[in-house]
Amino acid sequence: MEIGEKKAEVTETLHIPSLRRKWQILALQIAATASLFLLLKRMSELYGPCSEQFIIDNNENTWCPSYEHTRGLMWLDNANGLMIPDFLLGVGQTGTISMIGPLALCVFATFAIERYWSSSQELQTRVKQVTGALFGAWVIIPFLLAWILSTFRNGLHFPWNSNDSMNHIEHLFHPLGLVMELIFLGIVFAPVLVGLIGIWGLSKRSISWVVGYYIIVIAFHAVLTFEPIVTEVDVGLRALPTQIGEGTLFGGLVSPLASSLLGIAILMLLFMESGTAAIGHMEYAISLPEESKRDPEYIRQFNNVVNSHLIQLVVVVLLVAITTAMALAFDDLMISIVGILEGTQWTGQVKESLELQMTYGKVISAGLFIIAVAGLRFIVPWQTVSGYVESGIARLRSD
Amino acid sequence: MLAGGISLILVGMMISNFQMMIIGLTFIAFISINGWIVGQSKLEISRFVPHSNVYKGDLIEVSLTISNKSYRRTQLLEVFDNVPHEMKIRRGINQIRLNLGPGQSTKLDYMLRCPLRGHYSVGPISVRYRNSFGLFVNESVIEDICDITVFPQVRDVEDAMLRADVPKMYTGATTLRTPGPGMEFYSLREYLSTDPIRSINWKAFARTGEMMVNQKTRDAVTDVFVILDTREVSRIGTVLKNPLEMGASAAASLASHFLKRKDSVAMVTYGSRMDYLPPDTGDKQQYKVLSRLASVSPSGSMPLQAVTNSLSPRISRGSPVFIISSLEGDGTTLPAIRDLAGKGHEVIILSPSSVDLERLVSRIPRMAYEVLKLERQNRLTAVSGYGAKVVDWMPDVELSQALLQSRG
Repeated sequence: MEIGEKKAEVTETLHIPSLRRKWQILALQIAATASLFLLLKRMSELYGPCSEQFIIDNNENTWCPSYEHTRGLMWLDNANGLMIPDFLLGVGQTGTISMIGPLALCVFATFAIERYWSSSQELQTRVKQVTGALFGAWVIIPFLLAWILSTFRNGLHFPWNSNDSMNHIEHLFHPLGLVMELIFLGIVFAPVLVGLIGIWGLSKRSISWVVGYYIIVIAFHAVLTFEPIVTEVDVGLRALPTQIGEGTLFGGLVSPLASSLLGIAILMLLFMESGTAAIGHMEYAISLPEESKRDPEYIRQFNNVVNSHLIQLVVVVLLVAITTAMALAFDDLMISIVGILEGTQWTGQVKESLELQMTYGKVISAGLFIIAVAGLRFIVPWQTVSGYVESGIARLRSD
Repeated sequence: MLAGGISLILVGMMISNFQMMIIGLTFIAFISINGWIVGQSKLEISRFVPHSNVYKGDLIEVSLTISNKSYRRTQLLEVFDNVPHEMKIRRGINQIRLNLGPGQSTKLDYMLRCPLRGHYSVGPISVRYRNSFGLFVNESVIEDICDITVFPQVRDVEDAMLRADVPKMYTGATTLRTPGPGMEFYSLREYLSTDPIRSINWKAFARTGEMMVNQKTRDAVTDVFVILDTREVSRIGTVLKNPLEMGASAAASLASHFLKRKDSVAMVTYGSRMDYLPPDTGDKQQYKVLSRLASVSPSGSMPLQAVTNSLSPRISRGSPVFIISSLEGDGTTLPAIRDLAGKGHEVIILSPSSVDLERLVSRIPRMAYEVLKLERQNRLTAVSGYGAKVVDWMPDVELSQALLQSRG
């Protein structure tokens, strides 16, 4: 049994191809990918719809600068038609189904880009040249053909003309339609594509870019739905409620709105941490020399580190979610505690205080709660307790 | 992350946006929760180095055993063994990332190559501990230092010494006509209170009525003097190939050769000051010579004549003197060698060609090179004119081969 274990250890190495098949690394990458997809879904649900007033004033399919791709593409479809098939763009579909086609495109593009980056410099140059040539041919050849054919029919003429049959300039701008489609698609799906490249193509910068992009989208949405701005310029975005609402979920801990908003924050965190963790561990493995990659001690410690990371990721993200949810409900708890101390003028004032339940009060009380949680680490010796438990288990196993 | 979280909360508060505030709060909650996972460095780290004295170019196997004796997990720990930059890691790596549970231990092995002679220290051990998310990093240092001496390379020069045109008078235990510890009778002298009783010559006492003791001839050995030039000019060339490095290796090889033959070897180095290691025999002397040579570095500009003047009372009569020097930048070379030769010493000069060593690092115009080379040849010829054996040692020539070229 021991010999078998040792043999198994020797066959395991810290080379990148081997690590890419390691379940811990795959788990981190899959967690990051899933959180990226869920983040897109949540963002589209929350920031996708236009405001009710905008829909009443126009119609449900009119384009507004919300985080949703089909309305923009439909507007483009009505204007010039679409080059990419509808099922790939999700046009004509609603909700999550409308994202399947573009997500498949993103997955395919990620695979293609990764293959491109891993190919030789010579091949990359060749691919660039061929792509450029094809695009150039697509711009020029239809234009030249149309012009030459028209010359046979209508005699020699300039390619621009008020007569439609003798005007060929539009052929030059035809490929721009594809670029426009990609732009409309890219506004929503660029973070997915870049995120996938970051996770599977091992780029920390891409992962940071995605988080930054989503924060910018949220910031833009916040600014464009900020009341003083809306009174001046209303672009039709649906504003988030100014009150977070009563807690009805998880035993009255969080409101549905808070749950959605917290979900986005937690998914963002999970995506960032699991994505960068997989890359960080692989970076370390790459930095090791050949002998250390095969050294059983290094492999054992690598497994230790990655296993601990996985456990801590799950526990910490759960705790962060619970802590933030509790922090957001902490103002209610404070009011309830003050409510118990009835009789004084101060308790009455506090109990009826609106400020405490409004934005500032909520955030300040949440901040206080988080500080208290941070301070608890000096009181609760959980690491020592868990250490005793772990060593006890190890002793039992060895017996 | 903290700055980002606070910024998001503040901006969210300014524009009454809960999403930004919640993202900010989540980031700060993440930091707070992470604060609960604190690494620790209460470790027992022991380093094992099988040999603390090695020769230049040798390999050293370093082994670190890291044990977590506490009842807490270490969390993500990076252990880095500080290695002098002069040493090169040949196999493995001097760092490891680990996470040890209570009572667990691990081992880190790596191999170092020592391409430069000298005294070095491996360590201290740097320990960086943090949680899995890379937050709350702490560093500590474990002052476990292992001193390693890298001796200059010792070449086998036995064959070369036999075939070369260098004096053959010191072939092991030749008797010197000087009194000292030995077997052969030298003379009788009067008894001193410090003399052992068994050295008393009782027959002579009976004959003369005075306490006389037998004096013995010094049983050894020739005193071989090796003078190594460590002046600033001996730096010319590359780090690995310069007059000092070549000279240190030659001095070590010669000393080792003579000590093996039971001769007595004295070592003198001169640069910014003169260091004199008195003549002695045996392994202990070899260790002293190699240690001295390990620590020499190029500095100063002491003239050779100052060295020979200072040494002349200490050099035994007839002792051969090896001078290892590029003979550059010292106007006293000729008088110094003349004085030594004049006192009856066999002088052998081993001179690394600094002109050719300089060519290894900088381009010298052909004409300038020819002139410099000619000047050097003239200098060597002048030195050999005083009866010294001179070896013009080219950088790409082995010591044993160079010794065969000695000319008088």
